[in-house]
Amino acid sequence: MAQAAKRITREYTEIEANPPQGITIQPIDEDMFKWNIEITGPKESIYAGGTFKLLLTLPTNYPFKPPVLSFQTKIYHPNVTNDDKGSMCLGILRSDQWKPSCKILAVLEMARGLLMEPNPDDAVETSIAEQYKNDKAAFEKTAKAWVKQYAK
Amino acid sequence: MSSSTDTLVPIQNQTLADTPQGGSRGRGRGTRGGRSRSRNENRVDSTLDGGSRGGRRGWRNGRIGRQPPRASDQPVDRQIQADLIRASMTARGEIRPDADDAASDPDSSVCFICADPVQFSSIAPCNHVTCHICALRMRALYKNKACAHCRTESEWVIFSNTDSKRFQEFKDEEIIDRNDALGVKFENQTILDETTLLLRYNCPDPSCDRACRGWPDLYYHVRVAHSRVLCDLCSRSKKVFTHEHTLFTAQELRKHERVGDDQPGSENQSGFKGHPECAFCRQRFYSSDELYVHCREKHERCFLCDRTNPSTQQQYYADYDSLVVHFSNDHFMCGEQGCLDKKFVVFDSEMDLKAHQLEVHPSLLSKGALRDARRIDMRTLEDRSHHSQNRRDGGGGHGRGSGRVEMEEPIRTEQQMSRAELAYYRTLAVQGAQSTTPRIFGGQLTEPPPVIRPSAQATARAPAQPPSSITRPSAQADGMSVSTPPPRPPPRPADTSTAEAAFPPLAAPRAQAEPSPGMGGPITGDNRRVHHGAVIERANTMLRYNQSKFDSFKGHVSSYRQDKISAGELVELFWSLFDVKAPDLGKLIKELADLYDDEGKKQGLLKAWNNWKAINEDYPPFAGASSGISSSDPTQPSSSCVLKLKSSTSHSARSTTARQGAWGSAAAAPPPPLPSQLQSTSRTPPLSVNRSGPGAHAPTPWVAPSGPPTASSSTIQSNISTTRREDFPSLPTKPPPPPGWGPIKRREHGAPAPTVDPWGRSAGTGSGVGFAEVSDVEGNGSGGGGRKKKGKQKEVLFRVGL
Repeated sequence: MAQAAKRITREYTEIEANPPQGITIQPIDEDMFKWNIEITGPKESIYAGGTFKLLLTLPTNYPFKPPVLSFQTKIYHPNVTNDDKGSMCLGILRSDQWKPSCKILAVLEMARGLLMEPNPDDAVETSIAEQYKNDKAAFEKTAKAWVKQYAK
Repeated sequence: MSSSTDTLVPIQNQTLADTPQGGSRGRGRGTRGGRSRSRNENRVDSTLDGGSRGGRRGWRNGRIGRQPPRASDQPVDRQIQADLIRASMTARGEIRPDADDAASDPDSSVCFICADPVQFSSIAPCNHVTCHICALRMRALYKNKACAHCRTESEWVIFSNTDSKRFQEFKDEEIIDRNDALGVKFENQTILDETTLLLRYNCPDPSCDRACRGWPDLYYHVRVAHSRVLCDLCSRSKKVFTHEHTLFTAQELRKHERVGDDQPGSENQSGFKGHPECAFCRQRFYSSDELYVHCREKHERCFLCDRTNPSTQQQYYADYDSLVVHFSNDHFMCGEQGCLDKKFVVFDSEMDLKAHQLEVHPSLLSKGALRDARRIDMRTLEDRSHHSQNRRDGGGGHGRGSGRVEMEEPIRTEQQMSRAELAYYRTLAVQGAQSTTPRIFGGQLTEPPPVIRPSAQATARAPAQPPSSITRPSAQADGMSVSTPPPRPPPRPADTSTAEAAFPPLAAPRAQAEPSPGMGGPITGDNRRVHHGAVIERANTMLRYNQSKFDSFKGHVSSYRQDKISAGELVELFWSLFDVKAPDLGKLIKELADLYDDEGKKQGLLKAWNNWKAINEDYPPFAGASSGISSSDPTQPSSSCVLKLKSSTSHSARSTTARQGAWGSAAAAPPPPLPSQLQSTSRTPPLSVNRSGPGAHAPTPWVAPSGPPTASSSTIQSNISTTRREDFPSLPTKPPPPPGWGPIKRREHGAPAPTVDPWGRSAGTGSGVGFAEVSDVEGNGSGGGGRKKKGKQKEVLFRVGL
C-alpha cells in the first residue's frame, strides 16, 4: 500500500516543516506507521508541566481508516482509558466519524486540545468524567498528582 | 469491550528489516508520481515487453518508454487519441510534461487524500475533489459513498478531466456514460475505460496483462503462469484493487501470514504485521477484528474473570469443557447435575455457592451441611468490613443472589444464640430464601419475553405495504404497457389475462391484499403472497429499511421482468445494492426467482446467480465491476486501458479476456478449478457452474395470482402508501458502527510486540493505583480475585439484612 506510505510521508514532512506548538513527533525505527509523540501539557491546563508520551499507530489502509492514538504516559483524564493501553478514542478518531481528508496534525492538535479541555460527555472513563463534572477540585487534585507522579 | 483486542493478536510482530524482496513483489508500487506519469503509459507501456518491467523501481522504465514505440500492438488511432487527450490536458495546465515531477509540486495536481498526482478528478455534489482512484476506492472497495473530505453521502460523483468545474455545472449531455452500481458518471470514454480497467481481475504480476474472470480464475492463472499464490485472506478482505494484491511463493506466503511483509524503512513499507491466528483452531484471520469475532463466536470467556477485571486482557477458553476446568479450579461451581446441565452456574466465592445451594437445592444438603452452609468464616470478613459502605450500593449485581440467610450470622453464631433465637433465624432464613428466590435468581435468569413473531400472514402483509408505494411507478408503467405488451410476455401456467401478465409479479400480491373479494386469488395466491412478503421483508432487512435503496431494488426487479436488463446484470446490481454476504444474497435471489411464473425468467435468474457465485465464491467482487464493463463498448480497443496503478504495466489490446466481460456470459466456460495446493484453510470455492443448476429447483407449485390492478385499487394503494411511508421511515443507510474496541493497540516502542501469552493469561495489572482514589475497593479488588470479593459481598448482605 504504497499510497499510505506516501501520504504519511507527506504529512510527516509537513509537520516537520511546521511543527505544532507543544508537540514533537518521531517515527519509530523508520517505521512510518508508528510515531512516537510527545505532548507537553498546555500551560493553562491542569496538565501543565507534564510531558506525555503517546503512540500514534497508522493503519495500513490509512487514510481510509483512522489512526490510533494511545497515551504511554499515565494520565488522569476522562477521555483516556485508565489501563495499560491509555487509549483515546473519540471524535474524529472514531471510524464512523473519520474522514480521509483529516490529517495527523489535526489528530494531534485535537489530543492536545483535550488536555486543555477534557470532553466529559464523550468519556471512556465515566467515573473520572463524573468527577470532572461534579467535583472539579478533586479531579484537578488527582490529575495534578498524576502529572507529578508520571509525567515529569 | 473497547479494550485489548491486541491480546488476540499472536505475537510474531518482529520487524524484518532484511526481508528479501520477492521477485513478484513491489510490482507497480512506484510510490512517486505513479499515476500522473502513467498518463504517458498509454504509449509507453505498449512499447515495453513484459520482461523488462517489474521490480519496485519499474516505474522508472516509464521514462525510457518515451522513445518511439516499437512494434506497438495497439491500434494507432487509439494511441493518437490518447496522446491528444494528454496534450490537451497538458495545455490546460492540468498535468506537467514530465509528470514524475508532479509529486514535488505544490498541491495543485496532487490528490489531497492519497498524495498521488491526480489523473482524473472525481467531483462530488459537495464539490470536493479527489482523484478518481481514491473515489473508486471509497465507492468500489469500501462501499462507502461518502465524500472523502466532508463525509457527505452522495449517490453520484462525476469523473472528469478537470477539477475546476462544479458538479452542478455538468450537463447531462456531457456525461457519456454512468455506472449505476458505483454511482459514477463519466465525462469521456478514456476515463470510463480507465475505471473499468481498474476494476477487473488484473493479474498482480507487473509484467502480465491478463485480466481474469474472477478470483478462482486469477488463482489458477498466477499459479500456472507465474508459479505464485495469492494470500487467501487478503483477497477476501483487503480493500485494494486486484492488481494491488501481492503474489507470493509458498514460502513467502507463510511469512506473510505469520509476520507480515512489512519492510520498515523501505520505500514500500506497508505496515502489515501478519494475519493473526486463533491459537485454538490454528486458523488465521485477516485482522484482529475478524479474529475477535471468531473468538467471540467459537470460544468461551469466563464471565467471572471479566467481571472482576474488566480492563485486563481477554482470556479465552477453547470450548465450554475447558471453561469448566477453569471454573472448577478458580471459581466455585455448583456440582449438582441440573446446574451442570444448565451451564455457567458458577460463583465468585464459596459463600455465593453455598447460598445458591441453600436456595436452589437445599434438599441435597444434609442437616449438618445446611448448618455449615450458613456458617461464615469471620476471618474472611473482618479485613473487608470497612468497605461495607462502598459496596452497599453497587453490589447488587455481584452478589448473584447470595442468600440473605447469613445476614445476621456474622454477629452471632448459632452457638451463642438461644434456641428460640435460633429457630427464629432459621425461619427467617427459609422465608428469606423463598421470598428472595424469584427476585434474585428469577430476576437474573429470566430472559426478556421473547419477541412474538407475527404470523406468516402478518409478516407478509406489514412489510409488503410500504413497498407497494414503490412498486407503483413500475405498476403504472406496466399498466401502460398493457396496450403495448412487453416484447416477450411471459407465458403463464394458469389461465390469466394479458393484463395480468403485464402486471409486475411483485406488485400483484399487494393487489390481493386489498379487500377485493372478487379478485382474491385461491390458496395459491395466499401462498404466493406469503412468499412475496418474505422476499420483501428479506430485501428490506438486508437494505436496513433504506427506502431509496429499496426503490432501486424494486426498479431492478421490474427492469428484469420487462427484459430491460439481463439476469446477470440483475445479480450484479443486487450485489452492489446489497451490502451483504453472498449467501444472504443467494437466499434472496432464490426466493425472488421462485416468485417468477415465467420459467425462463426464473431459471435465468438462478443460472445467473450460480454463474456469479461460481466466479465470485467467497470473495468480495468489486461493486459494479461487470456493469462497468458491460456499459463500455466491448469492441472498443483498450489502448488507453493502461493500468495506472500498476506503474509499468500495459494491458495490450491483445488480451482478449481483457475485453471480455469479467463475468462472462452464461454460456462461458466455467472457470478453471482453484489450485488445490493453496494455503487456504477454508473451503475451496466450488466451481462447477451447474452444481445447483437451474433444474434443481422444482417449478413453482402455485399458480399466478389473479387480479389485474384496477384504477380504484391503485388509488387506494397510493393512499396507503403515503401513510405507510410515514409508518416506516427509512433508516439511515449507515450500519451502526462497530463497538469501539477495534483500534486499540499498544506495542512497545520499536520493540517486538510483547511476548506475553497472546491470550492474556496474565492477571490484571496497572489499574490498581489508578482507581485507588476513585474507589478504593475497585483498586484493591483488581489484583485480588475472588477472596476479596467474597468479603465485600458478605458486607452487602449484612447491610441489606438489617
